[in-house]
Amino acid sequence: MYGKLQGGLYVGDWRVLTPKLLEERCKKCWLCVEYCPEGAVSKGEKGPVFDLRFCKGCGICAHECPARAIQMVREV
Amino acid sequence: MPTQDVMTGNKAVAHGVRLSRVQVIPIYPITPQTSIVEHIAKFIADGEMDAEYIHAESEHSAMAAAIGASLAGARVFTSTCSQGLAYMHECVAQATAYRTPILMAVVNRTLGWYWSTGPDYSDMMPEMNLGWIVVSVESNQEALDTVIQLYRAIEDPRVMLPAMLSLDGFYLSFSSERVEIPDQEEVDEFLPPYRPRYRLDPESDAWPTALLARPLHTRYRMVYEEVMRDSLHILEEVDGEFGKRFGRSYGGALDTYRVEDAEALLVTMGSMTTAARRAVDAVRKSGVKVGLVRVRVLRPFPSEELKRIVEGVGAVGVVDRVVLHGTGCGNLCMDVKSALYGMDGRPRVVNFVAGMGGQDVSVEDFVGMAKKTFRAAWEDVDSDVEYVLREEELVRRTVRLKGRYTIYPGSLGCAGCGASIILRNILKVLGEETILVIPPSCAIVNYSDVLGVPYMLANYASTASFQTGIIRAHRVLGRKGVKVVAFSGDGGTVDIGLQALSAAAERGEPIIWVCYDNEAYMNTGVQRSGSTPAYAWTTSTPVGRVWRGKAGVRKNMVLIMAAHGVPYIATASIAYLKDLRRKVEKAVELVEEGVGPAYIHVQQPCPTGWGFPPERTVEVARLAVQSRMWVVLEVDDGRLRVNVKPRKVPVRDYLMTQRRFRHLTDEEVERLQRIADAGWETWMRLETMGRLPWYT
Repeated sequence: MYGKLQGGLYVGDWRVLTPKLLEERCKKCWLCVEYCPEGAVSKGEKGPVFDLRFCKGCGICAHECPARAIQMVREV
Repeated sequence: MPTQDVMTGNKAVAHGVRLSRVQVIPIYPITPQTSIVEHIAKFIADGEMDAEYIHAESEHSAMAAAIGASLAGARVFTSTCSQGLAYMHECVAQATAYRTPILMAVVNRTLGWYWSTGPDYSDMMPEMNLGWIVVSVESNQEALDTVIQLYRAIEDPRVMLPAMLSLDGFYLSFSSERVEIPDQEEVDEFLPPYRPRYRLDPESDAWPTALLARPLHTRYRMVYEEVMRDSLHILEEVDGEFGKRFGRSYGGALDTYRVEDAEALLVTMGSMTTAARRAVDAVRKSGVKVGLVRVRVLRPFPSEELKRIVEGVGAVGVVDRVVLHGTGCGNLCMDVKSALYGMDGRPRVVNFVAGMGGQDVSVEDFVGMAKKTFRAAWEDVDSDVEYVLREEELVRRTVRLKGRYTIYPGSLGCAGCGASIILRNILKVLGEETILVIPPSCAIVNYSDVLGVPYMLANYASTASFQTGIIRAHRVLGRKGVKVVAFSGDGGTVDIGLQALSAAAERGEPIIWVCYDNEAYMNTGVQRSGSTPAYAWTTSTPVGRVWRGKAGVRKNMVLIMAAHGVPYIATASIAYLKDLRRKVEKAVELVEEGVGPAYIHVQQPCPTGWGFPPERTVEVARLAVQSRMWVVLEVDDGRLRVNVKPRKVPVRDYLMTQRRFRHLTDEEVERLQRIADAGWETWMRLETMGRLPWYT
């Protein structure tokens, strides 16, 4: 078999809790980007941007954030 | 009194092993076999079974230990499948020469080249003709009963042969059925203790040997074959006696269904036979007189018995879950054809190949096969092999993204997986000019689907050799600047992969090795490895009345690599990612100069295997470093430096974050504290030593 990939796996529906940014608290240290196991967090102008197609909701970003700028909330 | 329970095929086998009072059990994990030896470990840990349990570092060693134990006079069980069985191969052949009555459960799984964990018989077929008795079962109850039957048969002084018990992966191994567990006293009466006449013991009258003068080879093979052919009757006899005592028997060598007035017969083996039975019932309703033969004893092949059954039948349709490439038929079909050769008025033979890689073979499929076989009888023709193909949609939910990534977002890994953090961070440094070599592990299963750099799946024992081949070819082809990087778990590094890694280290191959150490075989479901810390619960070192988790301490890979004079050795932690990336940069510099190997060992907390909530992965890693249970250091050309010297935290704070250590007593925690303290002191002393003695 020969193959070359051009995309990520859609795993967003694994998620129970969703990360939510509290912009005013964010210090833009980008630890959330470093630690995300899925590569689902990227740098945005006002702080991290979460790509919910790939986020499994593990909560490492929120747990490691030194400024407590990310909350894990239950999706409706 | 016999009891009843609902259990998987693997648990049924484990009960069979317990009831047979097996004495030595060497094991190595591989899916879908592993839960057999997990259940056995639990029996021993709880004191329900008294046996020596050997955590081997590979299947090759598991079978070697099995032969040793059997020769020394103990009753022995092991189990494996697929790649593991193939890796065992030479020892599997050795067991026959020694006439060791070892029982091995083979939980069938396809053998790579195309990798899958799904069942077919491509793993067992290369082992079929080595001189082992091979019995294939259809149900979980039959699996349990056959374990007991087989020990009785193979330890018979007239037999003394090893046996494989074949049960289908997933279809039996992980499906639950109602199973009756026989009474221990009844089993004891049926199966006496193993008392071999000769043993590997100075006191024995004679000692077993496998060395044989050339003029005797043909004769001994002849004798062996005679013993094997005769064992068929003993297997049938034991099945009959078992039936009288326990009320269940399985037709001896051939299990037949509605064959009396059949004009055509389906011939099957294993769990798919149950669907074939339903198909026979269905086609008979429309007047198609088809019967069914399940081949239970595959070796020795019951040729005469088969001939008696097919007498007067127009055609047999042989259903194979394997292809013998280059012959145009399956294994079972070849056996059937050779059995029927020269038979007067033999039936026509039709061969079907179905269900490879674990694809389901449904009742409808069998109805089709039954009708085709019936037509062959009516038309009086043989036919070429027919592949039963099914249209199934391939499910892969890929989100297409623009641009090139070294690793794409999303993966099949568990939420909070630390290995993913390591892989993404090392690839940030390594870049596109990288070839990853990954042995079987969580990484290959979960992250190969999202890799944007070329990678290969290495066979377990030889990752470093695959790397060596690649790097040498690049050198001879004049291709520069490509990093050949292993991404291996701890089992693939400190256990089964160590020999090839050691050889590559000694040769000084310019390769990079990254070990992501989650301190157990996580991909097969948390079995202990040589890197599991003392007292940790794993599924192969469970905690019970007798066992307290893993006995003994982990291997020290830094010193093992240093003893090879490896130019760059480092440990790292996902709590200190800058340090990790710097170390990878250093490794890249080194191999680009043509020097190597560079060895980086990263501790990787595993929420699933260690038992903590997924958001705490990085925190647990940090606590490991702070408690000095994991020391972040590097050995650069022999000079050791401890890179992170945190304020000390008691090991208890680290241990109690994880379920695998919850059972620890105060004394056990204290012992781990002493191990951590002593380790730390030693590293500090080595740091002041200048260059380590192996570097000159």
